[in-house]
Amino acid sequence: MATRSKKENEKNERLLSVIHLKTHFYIEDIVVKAVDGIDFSIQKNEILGIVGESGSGKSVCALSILRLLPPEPSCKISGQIYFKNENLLELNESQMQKIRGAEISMIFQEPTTSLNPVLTIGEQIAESIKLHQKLDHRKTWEKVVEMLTLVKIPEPFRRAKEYPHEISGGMKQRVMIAMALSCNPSLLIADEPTTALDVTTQKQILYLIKELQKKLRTSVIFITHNLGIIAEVADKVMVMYAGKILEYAPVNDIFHQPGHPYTLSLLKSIPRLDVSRGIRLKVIPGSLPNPIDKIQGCPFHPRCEFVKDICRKKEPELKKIGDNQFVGCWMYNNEEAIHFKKII
Amino acid sequence: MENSVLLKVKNLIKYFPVRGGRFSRIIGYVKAVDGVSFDIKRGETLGLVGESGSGKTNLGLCILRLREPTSGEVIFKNRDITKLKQTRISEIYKDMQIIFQDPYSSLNPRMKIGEIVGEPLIIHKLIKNKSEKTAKIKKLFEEVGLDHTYIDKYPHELSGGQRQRIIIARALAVSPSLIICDEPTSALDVSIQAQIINLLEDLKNHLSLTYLFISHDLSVVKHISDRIAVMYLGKIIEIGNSENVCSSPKHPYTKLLIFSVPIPDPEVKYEHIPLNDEIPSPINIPSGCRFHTRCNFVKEICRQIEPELREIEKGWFIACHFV
Ligand SMILES: Nc1ncnc2c1ncn2[C@@H]1O[C@H](COP(=O)(O)OP(=O)(O)O)[C@@H](O)[C@H]1O
Ligand SMILES: Nc1ncnc2c1ncn2[C@@H]1O[C@H](COP(=O)(O)OP(=O)(O)O)[C@@H](O)[C@H]1O
Ligand SMILES: [Mg+2]
Ligand SMILES: [Mg+2]
Repeated sequence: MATRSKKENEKNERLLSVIHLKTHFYIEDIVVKAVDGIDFSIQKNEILGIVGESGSGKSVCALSILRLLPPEPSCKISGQIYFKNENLLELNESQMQKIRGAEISMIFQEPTTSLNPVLTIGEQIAESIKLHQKLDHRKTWEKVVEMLTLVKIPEPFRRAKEYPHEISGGMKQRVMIAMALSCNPSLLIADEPTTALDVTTQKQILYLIKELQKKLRTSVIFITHNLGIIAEVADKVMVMYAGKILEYAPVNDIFHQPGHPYTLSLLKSIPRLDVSRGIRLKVIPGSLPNPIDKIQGCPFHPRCEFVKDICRKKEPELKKIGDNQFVGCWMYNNEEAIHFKKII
Repeated sequence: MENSVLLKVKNLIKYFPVRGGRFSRIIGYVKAVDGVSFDIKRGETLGLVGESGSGKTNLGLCILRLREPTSGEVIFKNRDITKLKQTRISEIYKDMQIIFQDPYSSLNPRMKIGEIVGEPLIIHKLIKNKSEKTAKIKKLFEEVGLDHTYIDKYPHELSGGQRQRIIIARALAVSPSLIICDEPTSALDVSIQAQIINLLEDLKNHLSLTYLFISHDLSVVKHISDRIAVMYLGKIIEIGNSENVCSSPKHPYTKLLIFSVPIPDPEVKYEHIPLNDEIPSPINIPSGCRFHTRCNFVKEICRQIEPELREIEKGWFIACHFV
């Protein structure tokens, strides 16, 4: 019980707050509003899932937190990103370097491109340890083996001497996780970490991330386009579309009483292994928004079956519709919401 | 005719020689497809599922002879097309078509999409004159849900979903009876995937098509297929009615695959089954049962004797010593 209440307490402690974040790219005379005014936060010991289709701004959101984007004037980040009471957007590059890897680390979809082909995996983990910790040679290698064991790589002594091309995709992602966690960060950002893997390997990596999150009490931002994965890993979910958050809610609300028409349609448009055959998929008409098109009003309105006049003109704000459920949709301003509740 | 067999694949094999050493001699083979047999009935959708590298694409290409099989038979409408002379291979494409995963790389970027869709009509001499061609292209555009004003656009002007519609329209141009769909929705976003899956289902009904539907995504395969074949390292290890295979899988590998699919419901609780990540190379296929190196139920016999596909219930075949 004691551990539980500790966990509850930690959950109410805020680790990161993002306030009105905008990340815009300027290419010649075009503006790409990749992230366009989003607010969210993550508590200690929590997994926040970010879900959205391609181009919705998920990766740019993560890269903005770590400030891993091109410099001004080609990219402008505005708003505030408070991490442990410090606004990351006000730090200089050398201060930011102390945060990256040590306090906040990130793993990506393609482990192959993030690993150096000419170093053994042991050497690479050692390098990431040495970046932020002052350990002698022996202690560093002890830590390398400890990290390989932590991510359940069998025969860690032998494996440490292998090169990236000698190991499978799943093993590479384990190595990336070992590197990312080697300095005990308080926040891990995982951007589609299993998308390039086969489903059986994906399952093992998801389990590993969840298990390590519990063990190390790291907070995690888990980015994916896969709703199944979101349901499996996330505590809280942020649904993104065209650089905006359309819905932000605890994972159970997202799946059992989705508030935004987009969330609902997405759920009904995926084929499911757990339902019998013969159910027709719901179709969201049209195509994904082009990032350079300026959509007036709600970004989802051109594809929304509930569209009204106001949706074309004015953008809705996120509105609280349940205990912790926030939805950006005009229907919550009147009785139509009740109608919507009935159809889900 | 209703339940007659349209395509029969018998012991199909596709090996790629691996060369090495000083004289670049053959030192082994990549056994991409290693003895596959199955039937597809007219009007049926057979799903083919397996992890990457299991040989799905090679199997599809060999059926169409876009890649020459090493051995085996492909009997399409009672004719063994592996025996067909090279010069007559194009006859196959009048009746059998393939749709690939990446709609961009399979479209010529310099051709207008109207021409792309119309090309097979010319190649196979299916139209008499220009107006017939225009009319046919228009009809094909309509069938796949593309506005005919797109006819003069180029592939790069279209979205991924629209490009996949073009590929489908081109495949339909010859009025084929069988379409092999190789991961047709794997590169698409969720909301676009649903559009294409529904389109494929509608076309199948309107045009009485038969599909071999290849995908690594078991949820998609289950949704669209009447029967499912599960492939592992070049061989089918389970085949049967898709509802049966998905709700009570028998082969330990099928069980693992199904257990691994994340379900979009946070209330579903998973138990953890540890699994060796490492899929053996198709150059060194394990002895006995090819899955034995990753199987949690492995026994001595599995290392030595390769299990045959055995029928355990009508139409349900499993290759495992312990089912
Ligand atoms: N470095 C960049 N320069 C210009 N545009 C970019 C850059 N990175 C991303 N974008 C654009 O920002 C939008 C959001 O991209 P991204 O965050 O990568 O989407 P997601 O990860 O959700 O698929 C896209 O339209 C993308 O093309
Ligand atoms: N042209 C080729 N030469 C040698 N090996 C190949 C060739 N094409 C495919 N392979 C190998 O054959 C195996 C099966 O490949 P493929 O049919 O593409 O599988 P899948 O479509 O199931 O992912 C893989 O191990 C792949 O590397
Ligand atoms: Mg991304
Ligand atoms: Mg393939």
